[in-house]
Amino acid sequence: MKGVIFNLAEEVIVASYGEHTWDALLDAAGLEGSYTSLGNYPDGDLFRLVDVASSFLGAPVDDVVRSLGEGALPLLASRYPDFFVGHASTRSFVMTLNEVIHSEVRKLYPGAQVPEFDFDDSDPTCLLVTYRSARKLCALAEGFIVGAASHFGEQATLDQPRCMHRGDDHCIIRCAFTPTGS
Amino acid sequence: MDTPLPPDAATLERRLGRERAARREAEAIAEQITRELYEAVQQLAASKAVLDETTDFVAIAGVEGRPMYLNRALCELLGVEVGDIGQVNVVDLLTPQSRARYLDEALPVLREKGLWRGEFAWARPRGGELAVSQVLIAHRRPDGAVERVSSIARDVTEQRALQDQLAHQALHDDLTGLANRRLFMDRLDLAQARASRGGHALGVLFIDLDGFKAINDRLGHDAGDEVLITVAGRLRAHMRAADTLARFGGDEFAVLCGDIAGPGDAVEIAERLARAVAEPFEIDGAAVNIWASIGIAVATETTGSLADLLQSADTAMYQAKSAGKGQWHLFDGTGGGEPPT
Repeated sequence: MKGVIFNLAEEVIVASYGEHTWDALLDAAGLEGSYTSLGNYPDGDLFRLVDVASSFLGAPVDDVVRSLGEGALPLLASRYPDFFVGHASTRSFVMTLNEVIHSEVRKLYPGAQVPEFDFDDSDPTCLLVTYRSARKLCALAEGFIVGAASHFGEQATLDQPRCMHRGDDHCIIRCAFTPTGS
Repeated sequence: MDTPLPPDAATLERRLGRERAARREAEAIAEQITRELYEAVQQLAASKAVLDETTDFVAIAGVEGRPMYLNRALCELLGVEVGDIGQVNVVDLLTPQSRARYLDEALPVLREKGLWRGEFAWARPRGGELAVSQVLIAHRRPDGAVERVSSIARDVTEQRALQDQLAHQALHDDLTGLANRRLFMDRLDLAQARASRGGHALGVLFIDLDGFKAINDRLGHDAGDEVLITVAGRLRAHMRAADTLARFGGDEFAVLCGDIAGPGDAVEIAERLARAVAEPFEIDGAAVNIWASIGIAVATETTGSLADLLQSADTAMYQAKSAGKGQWHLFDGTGGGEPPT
């Protein structure tokens, strides 16, 4: 896992709960915590952090991961605004994940292992996003999608008709987007 | 979670330690990337030197031909400056026929397999054509569509011309320029297939000169060669344009008459050729008389193999020869045959 993900986690935690909480999480997880964006770190480090945060907050692991994605998206939007301009909706933005965003991620972070997405946009009212990754972080993808919807002034309603955590070999995230306030 | 408290000295120490560790790691990564970049730049410079010095033509361009890169050899061919390739379209280099093949054959293969090898003809910007052996390599976008094509082309014009010349030599007689036995047999094969489809007859004339050895002995080999060239010219002038005339070696010639109605046509041709050869001529002031003995065989439904047909014409030729100079004989299947005229 690239250090940038840990940096985003740190920024999200510090912004919401303060620096001492990040310290406490690292201590409880027994981690060094010196993450550099371009460095490579064990996936287990992130899972340990999330587990510890889950017990601190008394919230399910998936909810923690989802909030991490949702909270990290504005940080990504301010760091990489080029990926967001030119899109009027969450739907069109999300559909550039493989070809634009993750292909750029590979250039910026050599060796990054990014998940594979497939899109079914045949239904105009909802977008089906297929997620495949050995890390099974579909909740992180959900969080990013929810965060992206806020960025575009939309409300995302998500559910997963298929999920690797329920024994399927891939996840399908069904997304419906509606303008906020309507 | 818990309410924020001012961090104690130990916590600050730990945070500082983390920041230092992260900084050291970031520096190590930066060093590593700098080293890789340096090596990549070195390698790029070496590659550029190779591309600049090679006589092969190298281009990287969009599928429609707009170049991103042309090496020096290609710029020189096109007559453009290395830094001024904006107006060039490399697909325009192809002759119309090659361009059609690029679109219909090469591009689909390139899209499917990512690689195409073959030959194209290029039109030189200042006129003339060159034959190139070309390799095309597809570069794809993440979605799989071909975005760019790299092309390496080698000028094989001279090689091709030499091959054509060798191929011609392999099928023709050096002295007279006529077809040789190999080409004759090939044409005979084709003509038989056509004749059996078209329902018409096929004739073979075997020609052996009478009096040639005497000329060779009397006037020498150079004069003999001149006689053969003259005879070849006369035969060619009096045969039908679509028929094949071959020299089998020595003073032996053969004519393949496709699309004849029957033996009568073959006989008529033989008579005409015999008369043409028999016209006296001069070599170095010396009068020369030469005649052609002609054996005729016409393939019918009962004729066996092509070898049988040739054998029949050969047999008929010997029968003509035994009847005197400048005679023809039509093979009748018995070995006896009709009396020569």
